[in-house]
Amino acid sequence: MMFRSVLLMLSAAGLLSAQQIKFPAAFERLAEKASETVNVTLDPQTLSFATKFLSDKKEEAEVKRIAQKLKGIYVRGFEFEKEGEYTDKDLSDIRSQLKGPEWSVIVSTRSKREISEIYLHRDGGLLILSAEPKELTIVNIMGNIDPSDLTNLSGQFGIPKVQGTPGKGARKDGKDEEE
Amino acid sequence: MNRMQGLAIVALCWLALPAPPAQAQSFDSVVGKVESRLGIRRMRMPGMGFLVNTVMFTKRPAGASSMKMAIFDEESGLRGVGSDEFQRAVRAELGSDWKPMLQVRSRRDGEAVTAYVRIANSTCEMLIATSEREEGTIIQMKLDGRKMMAWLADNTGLSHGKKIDIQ
Repeated sequence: MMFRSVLLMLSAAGLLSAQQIKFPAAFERLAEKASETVNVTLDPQTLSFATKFLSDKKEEAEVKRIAQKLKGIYVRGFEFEKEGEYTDKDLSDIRSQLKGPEWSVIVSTRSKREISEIYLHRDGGLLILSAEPKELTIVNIMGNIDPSDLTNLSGQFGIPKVQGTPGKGARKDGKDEEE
Repeated sequence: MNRMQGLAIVALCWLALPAPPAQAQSFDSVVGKVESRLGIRRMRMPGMGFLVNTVMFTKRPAGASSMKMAIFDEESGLRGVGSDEFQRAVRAELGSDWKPMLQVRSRRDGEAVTAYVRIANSTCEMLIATSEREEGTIIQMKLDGRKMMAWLADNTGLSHGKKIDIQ
């Protein structure tokens, strides 16, 4: 029994250092088709190193406070010359990994030409999926993060700017808490 | 727990420990291996090293120090190699202590940039490989964490271009 426990602990330790989702192999094909691709990998060591240098002055202090609780930031971005280069299958390959009980969707906005979704992981961390006709962006932020912290992190650490953020203490059932 | 299980746990714990740092590769060693792999030669520019070091000493651009640079152009033999192959060669020749932090590729312009970081104690080294169809550069420098993040923000294009609207 103890032997199994140790094995489980060791394998869990290994998993902690990886991103929370696996980018589908089909993304390599997307990268070939994309006119621009961006791939950011900030593992715990790099993130921790960068955070140490942030000052305690007003705005930076807030970023530092948030970043100190993070364990990794992973961004994949694709920009295409024309529409229709990625398919619903590409999105469903990501969404199929974002299921309960580990993941819960807290934001899901859809318009005719744009999809934005934010998922929260029960053990900490979130994932942003943004799909426009010619752009596809996936951001996985690992660690203890409140969705409202996205405002302060947007534009930092390779994270795209995020407009509109779910309120502090957003519930995991897909609705924001009432103020 | 019997003795075999105890030994297995010790073995697993040992495997779980971070590997001891390998002998750090020098910049010239990496560049030399890329040259050999691709059959190209870096540009020889008399006085270039002095110029770079002087600029680094006096200006310290972007908080960087100890900059080393190798430039490859058409005459270096890069024309027949291509941007992607150049990037693959750099990645293949870097030791496992270098971790890719940022990869940007523009198929439209035929440009690619990959930034690797190597962190040891309180220092961070960054190695940047840039490539176009007929040109490539490998730059290595020391950076502090703040400048590293500023560089990342400037080069992802995400911070000022891309916006995600979740309203």
